[in-house]
Amino acid sequence: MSVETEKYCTILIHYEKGVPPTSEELAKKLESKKETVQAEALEELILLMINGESYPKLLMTIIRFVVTSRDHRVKKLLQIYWEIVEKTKDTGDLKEEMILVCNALRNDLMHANEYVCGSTLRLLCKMKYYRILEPLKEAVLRNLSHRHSYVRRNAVMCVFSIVKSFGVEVLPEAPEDIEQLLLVEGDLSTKRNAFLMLVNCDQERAIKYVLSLQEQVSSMGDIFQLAVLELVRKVCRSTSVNKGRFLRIVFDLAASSSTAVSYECASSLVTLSSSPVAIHQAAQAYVQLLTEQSDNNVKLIVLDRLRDVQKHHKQVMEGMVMDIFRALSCPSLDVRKKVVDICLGSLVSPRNIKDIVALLKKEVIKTLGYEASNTEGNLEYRRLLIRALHACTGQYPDQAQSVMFLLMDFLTESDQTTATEVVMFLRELIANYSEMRLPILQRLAECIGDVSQSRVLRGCLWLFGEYCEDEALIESVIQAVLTSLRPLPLVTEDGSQKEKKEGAGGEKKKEKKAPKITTKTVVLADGTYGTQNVYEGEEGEEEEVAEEKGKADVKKTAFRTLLLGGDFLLSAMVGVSLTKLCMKLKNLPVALRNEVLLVIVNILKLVKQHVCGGEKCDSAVRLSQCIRAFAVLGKSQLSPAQLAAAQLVQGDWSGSQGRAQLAKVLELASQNSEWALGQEEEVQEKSVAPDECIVFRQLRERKGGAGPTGGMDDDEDFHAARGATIAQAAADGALFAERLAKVQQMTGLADPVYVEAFLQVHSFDLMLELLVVNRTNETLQNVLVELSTQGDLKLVDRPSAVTLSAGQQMTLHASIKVASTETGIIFGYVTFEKKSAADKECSVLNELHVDILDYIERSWINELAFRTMWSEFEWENKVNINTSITEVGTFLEHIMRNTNMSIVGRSYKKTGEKNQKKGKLTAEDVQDMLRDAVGIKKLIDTSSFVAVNLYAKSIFGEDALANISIEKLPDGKLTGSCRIRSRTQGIALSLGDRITIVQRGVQVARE
Amino acid sequence: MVVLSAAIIKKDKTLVARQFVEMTRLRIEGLLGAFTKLVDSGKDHTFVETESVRYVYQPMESLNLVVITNKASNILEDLETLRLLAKVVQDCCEIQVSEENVLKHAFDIVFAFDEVISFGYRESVTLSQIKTYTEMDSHEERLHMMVEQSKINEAREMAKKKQMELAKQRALQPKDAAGPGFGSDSLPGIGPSSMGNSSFQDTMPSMGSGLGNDMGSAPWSSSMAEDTGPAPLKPGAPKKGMALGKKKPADVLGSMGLPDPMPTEAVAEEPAAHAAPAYNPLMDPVRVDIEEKITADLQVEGGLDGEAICTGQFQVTVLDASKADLAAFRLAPQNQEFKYKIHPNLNKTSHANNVLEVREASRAYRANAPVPLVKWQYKSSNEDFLPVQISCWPSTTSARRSEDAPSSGSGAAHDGTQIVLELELTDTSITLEDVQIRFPAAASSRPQISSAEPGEASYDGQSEVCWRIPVLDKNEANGNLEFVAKTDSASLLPFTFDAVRRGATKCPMEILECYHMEKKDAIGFACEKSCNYSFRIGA
Repeated sequence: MSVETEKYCTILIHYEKGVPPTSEELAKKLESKKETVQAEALEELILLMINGESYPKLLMTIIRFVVTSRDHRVKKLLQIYWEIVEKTKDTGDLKEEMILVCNALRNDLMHANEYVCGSTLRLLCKMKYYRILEPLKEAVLRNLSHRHSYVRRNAVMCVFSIVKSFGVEVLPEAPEDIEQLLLVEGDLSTKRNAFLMLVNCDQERAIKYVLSLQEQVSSMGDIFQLAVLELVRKVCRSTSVNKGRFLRIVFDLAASSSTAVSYECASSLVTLSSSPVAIHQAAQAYVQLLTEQSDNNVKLIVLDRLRDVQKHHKQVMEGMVMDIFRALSCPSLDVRKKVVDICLGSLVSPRNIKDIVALLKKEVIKTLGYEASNTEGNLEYRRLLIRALHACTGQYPDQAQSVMFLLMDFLTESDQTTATEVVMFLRELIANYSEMRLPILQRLAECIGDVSQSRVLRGCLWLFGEYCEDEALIESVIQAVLTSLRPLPLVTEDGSQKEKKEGAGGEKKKEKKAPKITTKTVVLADGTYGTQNVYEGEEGEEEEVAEEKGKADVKKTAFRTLLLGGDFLLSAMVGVSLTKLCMKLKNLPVALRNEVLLVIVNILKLVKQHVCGGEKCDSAVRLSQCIRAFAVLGKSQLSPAQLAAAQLVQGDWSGSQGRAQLAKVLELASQNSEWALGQEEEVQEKSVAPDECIVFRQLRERKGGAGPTGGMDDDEDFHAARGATIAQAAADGALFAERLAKVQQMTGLADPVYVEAFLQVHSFDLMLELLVVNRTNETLQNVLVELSTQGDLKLVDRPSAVTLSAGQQMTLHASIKVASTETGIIFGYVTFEKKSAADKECSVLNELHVDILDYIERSWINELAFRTMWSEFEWENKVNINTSITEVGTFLEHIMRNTNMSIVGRSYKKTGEKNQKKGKLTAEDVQDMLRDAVGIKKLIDTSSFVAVNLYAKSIFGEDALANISIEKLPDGKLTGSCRIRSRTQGIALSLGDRITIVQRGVQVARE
Repeated sequence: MVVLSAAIIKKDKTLVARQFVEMTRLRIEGLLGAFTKLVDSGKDHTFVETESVRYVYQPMESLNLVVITNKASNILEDLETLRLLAKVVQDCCEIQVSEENVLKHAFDIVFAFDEVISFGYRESVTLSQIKTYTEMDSHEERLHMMVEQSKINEAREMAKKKQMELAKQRALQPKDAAGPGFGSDSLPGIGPSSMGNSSFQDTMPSMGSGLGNDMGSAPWSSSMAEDTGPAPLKPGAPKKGMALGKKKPADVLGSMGLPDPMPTEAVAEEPAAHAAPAYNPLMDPVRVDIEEKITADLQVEGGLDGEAICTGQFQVTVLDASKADLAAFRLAPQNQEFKYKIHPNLNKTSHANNVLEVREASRAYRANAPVPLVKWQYKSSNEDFLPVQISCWPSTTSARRSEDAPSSGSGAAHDGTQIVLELELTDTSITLEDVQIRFPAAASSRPQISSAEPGEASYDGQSEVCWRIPVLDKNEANGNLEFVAKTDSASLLPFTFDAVRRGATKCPMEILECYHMEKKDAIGFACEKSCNYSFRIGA
């Protein structure tokens, strides 16, 4: 019987055993008359046995000397000993001594001490040998009517476990007895246990009982109610006869005072019914838990549940958005994030948008409060809210009006991310809704002087340059910019003080100069590449000069300080924007124009003087372009070439190229925005292709994993948790094809013993299946496969020695535990004896590489998180690219396919995933991904330099980050590097090795 | 809602893990190993989910207490379980939850975990219930053992009597009882029975307990006739040795004993004593306090000085007057050696029948007012009445130390007194708690304690030396105290001995039943018994 062969582990205790004592030493102590000595010895023995020693001889000693003890501690320890002791002989038959143990157990079952009785019954629950249990049956049944509830409670469980393991035939009267007990029992635990027993062993009776209870159910104890719900779920899945009545019970219980019960009710309702009433009730219960429970764990899990509900029952949830939002009052950022995720995914509708925006606004204002500003995570929260508002107003522009002025206050925020977020938001509004341009730009002009972030300033300036149409506005904007730059000129003023500052700035600059070369890659590595491209639109060549410098701490405007500090990018932006504005305004006052010109010239001078600047600096070039444009505007004399150039620039600026670029960018951004994603997903989930198989739950192959219905039932979930599913699937032959492909030959066919191995990765362990074949015409004895491992692997079960007759084959198993994501090697040899020969013979086995890829699963992450991790992680492995592939795209594809890594910040399509084994990337996936990543694709097409961020996750939850920077040399070769970062050394190293091998591997394949 | 396993984990190793469902070792080690990688202390929530399981954990100092459940598990229930487990661990580790303590108490933790979760389902238990369960202190078992012990004693005595009788017979009829006849008659008889006994040794105690169990579980009403105890007499009287021979396998000689009403009485009392299972004392409408005080004066060398006086009272507090205003108590037959006085409001005639009930319904109990119903007194000059033997050995020390040089001339002879006190628990069937022995000692005498075993002794710095022993029982029945004080022996006397015995009194007061006088339905009650010992020694 399979129950008897599998060995289960019930207890683990850490123990430094040192040199284990011999059987005799322990026996001596066990024979002692003193109870304390006995107990100690028994403890030691148990610890040793848990940690792998075996003392088969001591069984008899224990039966003779320890079993008779009356000491309670000895008794309890003895029960653990019975639990773990080897009860069978090698052949699988029960040891004879067990009869004596049986006798001892029987005595304990009738012990005067009720606690001894109870705990013995509990021990019997874990006994899986019918021969031990059979003589005890009667005593167990008798204990069902024991006076102490403690005994009864355990007796019920014991009966349950016997019936469960050996069928109801062995205790035919059990259900009847238990039912009787259930009717009269007063103790809650006993009652629950009895009911559980009926649920699992005799559902008819259980149903009858519940139906007879009707209203009373709601007055029972919480654990009993939970059991009732379990029954309801079970029954309703298989038949729908009593579904109505059961649902009534569930509805009744939903009002229970126990939160656990109401949670369970809600999940039952969701799984059992799809009627809006039920779902509404369930969602309401969830929301109530969400707002009333203070525990973050509860909140998060409830939010997960709500998310599931939301996916399938959008309409019901719409009405609850405001209630869910109440959970924002929880200070945990994780919770807040999830709340916003759920609500903004698809629940925002024209009906509730007004309320949502109002609420978000209120929350934003709250974050400004004094006490809020001191709490941790406040900034992130604010950012989250701003992003949320952004998303809302993106869908419903009519709400934008009400929030934009509030948000514009944040432009002056010292936190860069927040301010940037806001400016992006404004950009989108301005670009998409022309009616809002005027007020926004006006307001921007007012506050431009207070903005302290270079990046934000650049954003604002660009907006001015691009979208200012109204003449009065242009004038006021120019005035505002100039005011914030005054007093002019910029350099000569307050000499000594500034020189110092400049000196300091210069030094800083020098310090930064060294990393500047690398800045090129770092900036790209960070992924800022894409964003900046967006910003400058037509000024691509200036990207390298990113970096904002000199955080403002001056009385003058931050703007001015930045310029003085030598922010080249900003300098160029000022010049270009002002020039553009001036060009738009036909009748610009000359004084103003001159002042503008002065400023630009001034800045140009600054740039040229700067340590890192100079004549050839990008910024300088740009600024001189501007001056030239002015010159054209002023109809000055220019050489024809210069004139032509200036006109070209002019044409470029006055055209709508910039806007077109922006529109593209925005489109891309909205595609990738986190909340828009949810919507898409949902749509996909709902639609089922017409040719897709219809799955009948009843007809489905058992344990076939979660079907497309997604609704795993309790049992399956439980089995999965136990880790039984995979083994079952393997037994079903589901993995047959996969197995065949993965079999590896370990010895030669001509060797006397042929061995082939199949390595299967279960989540945290490896199962090595060895097929051993005797290729000789003789009987081989003691055929033993000895295995060793290298790396973070541990051999748990070794294969045992076997005897093979001529030509016989046999399958052996070895299990190996994996401790971390690292490449490992399994090696070994096989020994055997021939009858004729005296010595052992031996053949060495091939090495078996454990592929790191088996532990790496694809996973998705957003850019922000990637960047945080990138800066946090300690281990970096840099691999230089050395490959024969000449196409960037092909190379990337190749690497991604062979490392399971996916592009950061882009979602992968979920379709098709279900048919495949989870976590593996296929060629199509990779191609899809590359196609989706518009920015990267464009880069690949247009530029000789490409940088991509990749991400994957190990099954142990470790993150693996990679950045690949490739440059295509003029001769067509690829060069560059690949950096891998991770929290642990193992991943960084193994993944690096993998990439090295992979790129070389291609070479070999091609040659 | 199934807990797969509960474990205590230190960074990289599993200290204790208890599984509640069937899992292979590989799997559980894998799960626990993965947990240490997944857990992230920086988060503001304490659960981690993987593809197949959910870990819910709680940091406990440097360790983590983790519960592994399936993913569909009810989080609220799991948190409840976790909270309870945490309490249990805290309790088992006593002082501090450290790796060392956890490993030291690993088994206690495992036992307690078993009480919290069965089959992966949470039991509805409280910490105090768990404690009772793991302590396994069963009143029933104690009674059972007492019964067994008394049976053995009886049998032994009986055997002795029988032996003497036989000897007497032999003396009277020396000729009749000549060697061969006796030998051939009795020896074979003893032989097989002793053989049979030894082979039955394993099974017989179980029979005995089984018997006790049956009797116990039978409804009380069937064995109401407690004072007669005729049941064993019927079979016992005609064929003496045979019947008992089976009952007392441990003692061969006992097989010759006569049956006696005592043991059966004890058996009969057994269910009575436990008629009140203490499910929830707070809810019981009636509270009974049986208190006893035993005072005596003792001589320094031990031995009783005068008489030991035992006074006790049976006090009732009705907490819920609506249910128990007319509570009546049926008591076990009382030991007539004690003198009883009952409250004037009680019905004297029914008291004679061992029932305490009020004389008339108008004299019902008032709520929350303690009323003493019965008082008793007993005086004894028998030393065996006292559970302890105390002997005190004062001796003068004349050790002259060099530091004392200036005053050595005068103080040499009576430099101080050394007290050696020996304490022995003579009645090992009882457990004394909070034992305190106090010696008066002035500060000037500067007492120095050289040894105290068990418990601890200390000088309070002003007036007395106090030796405290938390528990004195059969495991630790003896004690010694030794100290030196710079004063003469007379000023260290008299000293006092105080102790409490809980759960039992000298006077057998057992409530068999508590019921309503008029409605006749049973009333739940909580009964607390205690016996205070206070002796003065060397007065």
